[in-house]
Amino acid sequence: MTLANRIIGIGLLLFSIYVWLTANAFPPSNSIGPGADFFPKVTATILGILSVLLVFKKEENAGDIFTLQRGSIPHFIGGFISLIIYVILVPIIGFFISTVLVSLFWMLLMGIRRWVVLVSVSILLSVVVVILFEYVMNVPIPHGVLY
Amino acid sequence: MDLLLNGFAQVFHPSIFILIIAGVIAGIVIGALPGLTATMGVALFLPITFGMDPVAGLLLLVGVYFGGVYGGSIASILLNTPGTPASAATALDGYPFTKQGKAGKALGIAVIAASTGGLFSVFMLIFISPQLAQIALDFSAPEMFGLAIFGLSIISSISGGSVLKGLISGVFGLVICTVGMDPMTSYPRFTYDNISLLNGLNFIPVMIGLFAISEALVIMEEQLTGGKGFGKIIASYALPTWNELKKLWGTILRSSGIGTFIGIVPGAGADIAAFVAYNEAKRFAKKEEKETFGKGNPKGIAAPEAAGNALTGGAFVPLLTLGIPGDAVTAIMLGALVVQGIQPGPQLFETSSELVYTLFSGMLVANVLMLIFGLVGIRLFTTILKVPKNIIAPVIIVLSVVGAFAISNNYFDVFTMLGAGIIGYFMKKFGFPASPIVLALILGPMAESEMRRALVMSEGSFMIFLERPIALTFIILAIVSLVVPLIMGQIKSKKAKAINE
Repeated sequence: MTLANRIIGIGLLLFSIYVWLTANAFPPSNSIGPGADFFPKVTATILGILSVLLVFKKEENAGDIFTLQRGSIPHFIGGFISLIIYVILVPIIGFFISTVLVSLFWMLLMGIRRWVVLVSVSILLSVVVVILFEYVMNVPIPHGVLY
Repeated sequence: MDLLLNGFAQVFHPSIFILIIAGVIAGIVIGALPGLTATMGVALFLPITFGMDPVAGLLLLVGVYFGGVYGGSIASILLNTPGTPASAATALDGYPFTKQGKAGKALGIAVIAASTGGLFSVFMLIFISPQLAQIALDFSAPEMFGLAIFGLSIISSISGGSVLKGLISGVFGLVICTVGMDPMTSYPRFTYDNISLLNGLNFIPVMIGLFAISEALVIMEEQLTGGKGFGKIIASYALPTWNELKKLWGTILRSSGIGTFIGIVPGAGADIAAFVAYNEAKRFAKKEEKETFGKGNPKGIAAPEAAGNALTGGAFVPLLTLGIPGDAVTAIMLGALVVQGIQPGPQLFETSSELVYTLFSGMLVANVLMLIFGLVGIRLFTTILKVPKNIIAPVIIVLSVVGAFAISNNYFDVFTMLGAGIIGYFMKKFGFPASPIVLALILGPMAESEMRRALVMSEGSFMIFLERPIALTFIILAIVSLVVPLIMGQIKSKKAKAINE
């Protein structure tokens, strides 16, 4: 954990320096008190100090951080990327089809192999959500080219 | 009193009553599933309520919240895998009961303690909040700034294992909340010419991402590492007898008081309430009884359950009277109120007293319903634990996308949610608590605008915060709550070192 803390700490330090420098260009304080730059600068400074503390913090390792075995790492990355693709795809081809695809893919990744379950659950999920939200609750859902 | 009776009349209107029932059941189910918390349940249910009228929508969420907090104890008791962080304390004495074949007794004690705690805290809420609102009416900018700072300091210092990581989460949230127009001059900050960023990051998508998407990713990881299958649940459904319960009332009432108090303090969550009450129950126990804690002492179930559920009513006190959420769930409730066009705060008791008292009556009813379902449905709720998690994960993802989009029909929010979800997953992995970020997103803008408003009042002099007694008190409390955990941490590690040597 100590190594992870150092990397995160350095990352956060760089982030806070960036925020501070960007905020430095904002309109500064005037006669009636602090300006737009005040709050970002103060918080970035505190974050910077805390991240330095994190860099120097020693923390005992409480077991492995990532529990995945080598063989299933591609599966996990696949799930991760499919989630991102899903979010990008929804406004393009619409919620309905993309939802069927992503839920089918996720269940497949997580070891469900029975096609009846895969197809019926993913279609049912999409249908139920669309009907429940759009027609029963009047909550809009994102649509695209393919509904 | 009239207002409360009128509230009951509204609550028992079939359309609202059914929603409370649905909320409580859904809450228990969500809470019972290991990993899914009350916070996440409320976040996922939030978008459904947008199309409802305010009272109905809020009471549905209240049902999910109350049910979810109790539901966590089911998995704790039966499987020793706490459904929510708060119910980890319940597992200590609840699981030994299951091992002895007395699961029904443990579940019975849990639901009775939980609903008693819940009812107690709602009565306290009804009693305290109008008075507090009266006082808060006189608060102006410096006091509100002090309050926001106090809330922020507590959130960061007591949320989770590492004080430093809690603080980093909180301050990171404060930096993030400066995105958007400056509250005083409308100068665009960190918007990168993106119109969607002008009003800042919407905290509800951030919250859905941090609590729901991150959990879906964790579930996937668990499933890929061989998915923990649940063993056969040996359950007997015999309920506790009256004689067994009689010995618990003292513990239940004390824990309810502790839970309510911790709930009122902005920032502290159910997990803290549960563990404090557990330790107090142990401290109050007779010497020979102390030995039995952790081996199946009924008080060890009653205390955390009563406190965890008493927190719910307490957490509504600062939300309704001051507009400051008491914990992560009430932070979502704040979002629900604002979406419905209701601004919580001291004026709420004057402008929408009818709504407030209907909410109160609904909370009382929700607690009673929880007791009924908890006792009748034990058999049913134990079957929930058999729902395969590899089906739950995609459901969470899909509901998160719909939820994030529904808030303002802006797809940008969905990307915000995704980003927050990915960050949230890594935060979980590296031990950073998520709730400080969310509460910082709410309290940060408040702290900034109130501070600058106060400085306009004082023509730029910072002395205004020291000259006003209430503001000064809050600021001192904030400093104390930041410094004390750090010192305690130092003492603890020194002690640990001394023991090791």
